[in-house]
Amino acid sequence: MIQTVGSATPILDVRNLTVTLHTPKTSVRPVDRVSYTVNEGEILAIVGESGSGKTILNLAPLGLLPAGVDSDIEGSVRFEGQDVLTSGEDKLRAVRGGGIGVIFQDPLSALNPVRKIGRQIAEVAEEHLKLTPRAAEQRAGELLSLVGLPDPLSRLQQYPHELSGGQRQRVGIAMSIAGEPRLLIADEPTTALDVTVQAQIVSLLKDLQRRLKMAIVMITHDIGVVSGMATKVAVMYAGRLAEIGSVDDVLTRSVHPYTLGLLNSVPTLKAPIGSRFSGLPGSPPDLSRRIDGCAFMPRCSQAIPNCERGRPPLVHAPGDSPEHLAACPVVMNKLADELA
Amino acid sequence: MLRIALNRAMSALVLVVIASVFSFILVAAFPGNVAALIAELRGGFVSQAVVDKVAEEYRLRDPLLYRYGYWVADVVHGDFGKSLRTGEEVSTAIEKRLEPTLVMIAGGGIVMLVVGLVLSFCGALWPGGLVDRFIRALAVVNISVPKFFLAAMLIYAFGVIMNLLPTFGFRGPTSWILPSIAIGLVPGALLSRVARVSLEEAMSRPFVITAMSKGFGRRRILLRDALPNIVPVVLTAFGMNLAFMIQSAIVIEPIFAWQGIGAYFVDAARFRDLPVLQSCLLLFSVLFIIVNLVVDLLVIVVDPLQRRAMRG
Amino acid sequence: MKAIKDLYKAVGLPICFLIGFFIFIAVFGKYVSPYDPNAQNLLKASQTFSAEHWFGTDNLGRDTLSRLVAGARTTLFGVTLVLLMAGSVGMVIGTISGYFGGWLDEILMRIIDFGLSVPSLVVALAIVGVFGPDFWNMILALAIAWVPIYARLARGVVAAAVNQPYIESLRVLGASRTRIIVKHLTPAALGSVLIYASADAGVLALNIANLSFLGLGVQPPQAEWGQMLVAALPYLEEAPRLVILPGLSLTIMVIGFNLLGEAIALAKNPRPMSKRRLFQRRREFLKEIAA
Repeated sequence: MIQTVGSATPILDVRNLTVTLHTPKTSVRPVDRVSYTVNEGEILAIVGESGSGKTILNLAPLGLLPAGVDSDIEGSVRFEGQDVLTSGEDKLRAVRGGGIGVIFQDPLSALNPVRKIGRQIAEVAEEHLKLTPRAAEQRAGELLSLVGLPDPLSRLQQYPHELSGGQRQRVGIAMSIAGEPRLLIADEPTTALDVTVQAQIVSLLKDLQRRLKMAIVMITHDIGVVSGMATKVAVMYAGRLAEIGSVDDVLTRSVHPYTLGLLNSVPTLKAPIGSRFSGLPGSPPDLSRRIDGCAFMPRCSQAIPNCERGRPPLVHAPGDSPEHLAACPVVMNKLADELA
Repeated sequence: MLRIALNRAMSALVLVVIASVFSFILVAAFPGNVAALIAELRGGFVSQAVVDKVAEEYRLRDPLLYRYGYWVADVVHGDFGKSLRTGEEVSTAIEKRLEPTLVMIAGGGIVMLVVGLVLSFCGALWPGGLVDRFIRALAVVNISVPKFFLAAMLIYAFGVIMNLLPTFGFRGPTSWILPSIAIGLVPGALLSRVARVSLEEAMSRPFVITAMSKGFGRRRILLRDALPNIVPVVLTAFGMNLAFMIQSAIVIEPIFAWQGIGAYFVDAARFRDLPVLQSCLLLFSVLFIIVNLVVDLLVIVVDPLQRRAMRG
Repeated sequence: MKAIKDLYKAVGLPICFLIGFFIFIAVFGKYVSPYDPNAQNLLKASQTFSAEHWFGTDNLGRDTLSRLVAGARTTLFGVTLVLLMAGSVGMVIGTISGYFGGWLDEILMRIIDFGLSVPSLVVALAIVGVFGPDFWNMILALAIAWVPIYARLARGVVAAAVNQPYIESLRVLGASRTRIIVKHLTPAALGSVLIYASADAGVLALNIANLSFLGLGVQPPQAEWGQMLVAALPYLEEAPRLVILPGLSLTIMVIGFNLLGEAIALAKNPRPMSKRRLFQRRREFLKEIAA
């Protein structure tokens, strides 16, 4: 069981979450018995390659899957103590937008192209804060200036295609916080944007988090974003949790071979010009098939025979932090050595 | 935007010209001696001299191009010739018969709209459910039923068996009900299919997930988010179906004994009434082209440069 | 044979049955009907359902069942003829237009556009009106009215295909124009045309019935459902079955065509899984994953 430091109930408590998706063509299991918690005020970054399940992990429990996809969800996902997987539709709708806000990856497709931006933001405030349309409209204007869009009043009357990519994402952010949620889920909010705009969005999110005292779950594959924002990091691989811990632990004292490989593959400015790119050999496993043992083993340079024997459980990484965990038999050996 | 509108109008004009050429050529291709036919219909003794005089009068011996020119000039001045069958001015006949046809089409349009929208919404609210499948089956049947059969059955049910509604003649609002249903039900089913498919498509787009993440339920998302997105498509389908109703009127007017333009056209076809055929063909074609043009322009207004700019 | 198997899989049993039924009627109808559809027998006029005449007789004493069967054959014959004519002419025009492009394409397409902007019934009616009501005039009229849509369809496919690299490479390899058109472009166009035609057959059948209903299509004594219906209208009160039976037959045939078209379209766009399939899939997957 994962221990939590701090006495308050975590705002998000995920236990043994397993998600299976079925489409007419295929079935996959992008999330396989994952557990973690998010406390108030924390910023958890969930990192992994595409297809590692990090998005489904967050959206499936809220029922936010695309049309034509059937899902089976097991385990429990408690938001402020209440399990959203067993809540009725009404309670779930109250949570969506009012308790948990979501920022999506592609702001262009996330916004309705034929409705005015003001309406798309105001309706959230109307619904969750029970404001009148006019008050909600005003609130939308305030939110637009909060997210850094100049001339908010005329923006309210504009349509999504009249804005640039970065502006649209700001609108997306405004929509997600309009209901004054306590938790924000940001699904790769900077991936679809220019590099310069990315930095702005990241600092905007940090600022908002501080002001509005929200917890944030940030899904990303960009280590730069992680180091700039997160307090806690979870590394996903093949639908399973590979490593989790504070941002210092995971980024500077990483133990899992996959994490190490990820960090090594980020090119740095300090490396001499002409040095090689190091990536990870091979590719992630097929999630529609059974995976025996550790999912990363085929690509792992440190693999030992134990890695084939059943799925490796999460164990404490050697060191002082009780919250730094990794699912790796190699780490387990090191831990055994340490204790011996 | 004005440029697009002008462009469309120009295309429409070209189509109108082609329509006039086609109408003219078709009738000019009449196998047989038109002059003789006319002379016979006029009664009296038919001799070669009489036939020649008629040919003179109708300029039937002139070169084709000239005849076309005369005809276009006449038409532009509102002279559509005289019916071979009744001798009446075609233009006055058309004026008289405009009202019943328009009433029928208007009534049919209302039926189509109501049936189309209600069915598609019910289907979209509970996709895959029993209601949806029933509606879909109903739609297939509806589209397959021949309109004259539908009209006959309506007459049988409401006129003969239940004796509830008038079935004969153009006689005031109650007599409008059955013909409107007969002409509007099938287009309504067609419209509902278009609307439902577009709604389904709209509901599978990403902004629906965004709306869900805001805490809204399916019905509200359908109405507030999906609906505005399907207006152009539905509007186009509505307009097209409305234009096609003119064609249905041809078949349905005789059944209910309404003296509309449709019935006029049929009588002309039965009788080889060439001037009427020519004028009606031209009229129908122009009407269609205009309706298509209007619908195109309306779509551009509703779905303006904004969307066009986005689609590049 | 494989094609038939694919069709069966795609379309389902009921529709195959319906199609088979109609094909049977078309080919063997003459030998299967109990009476000569045109044989009048005034002594037995307007009889209702009986053992001798399963569906009764009409006002001229002709056996209704035989007339219904004959009507089916007339309609099927007419539909096939028109589709063959309109389809082939349309494909030729469309292929030429799509391949050569340029001003030829422009002009042809304008004319086609006009053909599309006027509904088929009006055009057919006008043609029949000028040339006289006759089975063959009707077929010709409908074929002319139907050419534009197939021309448009074929042109669309060809115009899109012409720009593809594989056509270019064929040209470079020295393939002659005709060879390219006939061997490569035509099959592609044919596919789209066939798919559309399967759905279109229903509309065509309705139009044949419409024209006959107005007295301007199939002429008596040749049996056709629309014509039978209009002849029976005056007797609606006394012998409604004479109106209902042809109408119903036509509806069923058109439903068959429409379902065929829809099923073919459905085969290309998969729908979400039914509950039953979902359960199946779930079980299969768990076996795979947990084993």
